[in-house]
Order: sequence, then structure tokens, then C-alpha cells
Amino acid sequence: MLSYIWIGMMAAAIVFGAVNGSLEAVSTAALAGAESAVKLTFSIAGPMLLWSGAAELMRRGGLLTALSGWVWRPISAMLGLRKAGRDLRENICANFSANLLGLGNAATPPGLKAAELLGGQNKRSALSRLIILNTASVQLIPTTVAALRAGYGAASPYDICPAVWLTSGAALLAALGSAVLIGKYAK
Amino acid sequence: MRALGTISAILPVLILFGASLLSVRRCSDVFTVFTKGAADGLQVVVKLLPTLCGLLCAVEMLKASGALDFLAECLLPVTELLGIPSDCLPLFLLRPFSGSASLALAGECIASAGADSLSGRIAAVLMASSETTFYTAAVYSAASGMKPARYTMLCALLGDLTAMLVSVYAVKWLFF
Repeated sequence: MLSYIWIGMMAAAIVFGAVNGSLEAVSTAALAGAESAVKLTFSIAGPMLLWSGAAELMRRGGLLTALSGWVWRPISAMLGLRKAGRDLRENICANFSANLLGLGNAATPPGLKAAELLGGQNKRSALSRLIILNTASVQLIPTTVAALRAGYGAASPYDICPAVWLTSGAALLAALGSAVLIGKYAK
Repeated sequence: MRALGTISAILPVLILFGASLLSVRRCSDVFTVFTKGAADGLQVVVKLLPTLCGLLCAVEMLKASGALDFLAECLLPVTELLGIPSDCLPLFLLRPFSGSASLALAGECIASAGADSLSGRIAAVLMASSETTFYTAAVYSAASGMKPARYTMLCALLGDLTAMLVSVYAVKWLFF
């Protein structure tokens, strides 16, 4: 996917550059882009390291497990899963809590394990809703974006949190709501 | 609303401190645990640089060529109707397709418009409240070994569309 996007972007740049007579600027911009990649990486590196350290503490110190215990009720309702084995339940909870805390890397392995278990039990609609839950990106702490904002001099990098909660909540509601409705009426 | 903002501003520090306190009960060497995690984070950042280098190169080329201005002009009726700032447009278009490309675009938007500007905030909020939908759905379907229901992609993309619209209004309402 990325290869096509990349080639497409460059092709468009060259075509437009040729038409607008700005090919020289395009080629200078290519180098400037490489330079700003280094700046971007440096500016997010510090906060990313800090939060990854915090993530390891949450995992080892039991905060993630504690949160997992609390989220099963709302999650099972959202997925339409009334009964689930212990293994499935633990993986789903770990996936969701890691997402909530903005730990993308910690969320994927249990999420994929849960998908595998749901597939094995042939629970198609729960699987669909698990996918929707993960594509809706519900998070309490938007770590990567906060790092990005901090790097570019935001006065208070986390002050976007309420806007993020509102937005991802609305997105989840729309996606999950439509899935529930379609699942119910379009058989 | 102000109280909510204050809570969200101090939440990360509270979580960091709370997590270290909880860890002290389980193992004494909390600082080593922290540095191990931070080292993992460094790996992630180092792996990100080559990707961002290639992508930002293409993004800057697009900007310099005038292609983005052209695109923004073509979509002007839609963006004006929905109130989407034109410098956020590339991010809106690529968000569901590629995570690293949208990170590059969000970084670009925040850098050039300013972190606390309208466009910079919208870019940040959209980036945080949506996912690389196509990639995520593909990976989860592959792991399950079964095809999810046909409506899955439709609903997930409806969620992305909602995130795009709401991010603009949420930022305008809460900050401007």
C-alpha cells in the first residue's frame, strides 16, 4: 500500500512541478523533507521514550491488569458477547485497556490473539465488532500525538484530550451503532 | 470544561507516578523496568526515521509542486461546507490508508501551522481519534482466519468519516 502511495505522491509532484515550472523547487523540497524527518523524529523521541518507560511500568506493576478487570462489562456489551472463556476474556480486556492508555504496541498482540480465538469459535459478529473497536481508536491518553505537539512547542500538549475523547467517542458510536443496526436488520 | 482540561493535563503524570508506585510493591528495581521500556521506545523511534524520511520527502515535493494547492482548490466546495482547513486536507484523505504517512502529514501540519493553531489542533485530534483502518482490519481478519461480516469495513469507515467531521467541530467548539 505504502509503495503505491509514495510513488503516486512523487509522480504527482513531478507532473505538477513540470506544469507549473517549479521542478527546481520540488527537488530542493525533497531534501528539505528529509531534513524535517530528522527534526520530527528528534522532537517526538523524548516523550515517546518517557511514555514507553511508563508503559513498561504499567505492564509490570499491574496497572494494566487492574484496568482489564474493570472493562469487561462495557466491552462484552459492546461486542455482544455474553459468555466468553477466560482466555478470550483476558485478551480482549488487555487489548482494550492498552488502547485506552495509548499503548498501541501493547494492544496489538492480545488483540490479534482475541481475533484468533473468535475466529476459532466462529463468532463472526463479535469479530467484526472487535475490528471496529480497534479501528475506532478509543484512547484516554493520546501519547504519540501529545509527543508530536510537545515537540512543536504546544503550550499544554495534553489539552487536546477532551476534544479527542469527544471525537473518538462519536466515531465509536457511529461505527458500532451502525454495525449493531446492520447486524440486526440486514440478514 | 476548564476542569476537564486541567485533569487531562495532569493525567499523564499521575499515571506515570501511579504506575511506578504500584511497581515498587512488586519489584524493587523500578527504575530498571522504566529504562527497559524506554529502550523499547527508542527502538520504535529509530525504526520510524527511515519511513518518515521517505514520506516527508514526498510530502514536501507535493507542497512545492503546487499539487496540494490544486487539490485543495478542487475540494474547496466540500471543505468550505464542512469547515475543514485546507492545510489539514492531505491528512484527512490519507488517514485510513497509512499510519506512517498520516503521522508525517500531521507532523507537517502541526509544524507549519503551529501546535496551538486551529489546523494544528484539528490535525492532532484527528490523528489521535482515528486509526489506519484498512491496515488494522486486514491484520485482524488475517489473525482470525475467517472473513468478518461484510458490513465491517463500511461501519469502520463510517467511524472514520464521523471522526473527521467531529474533530473539526470539537476543536472549534473547545478552543476557538
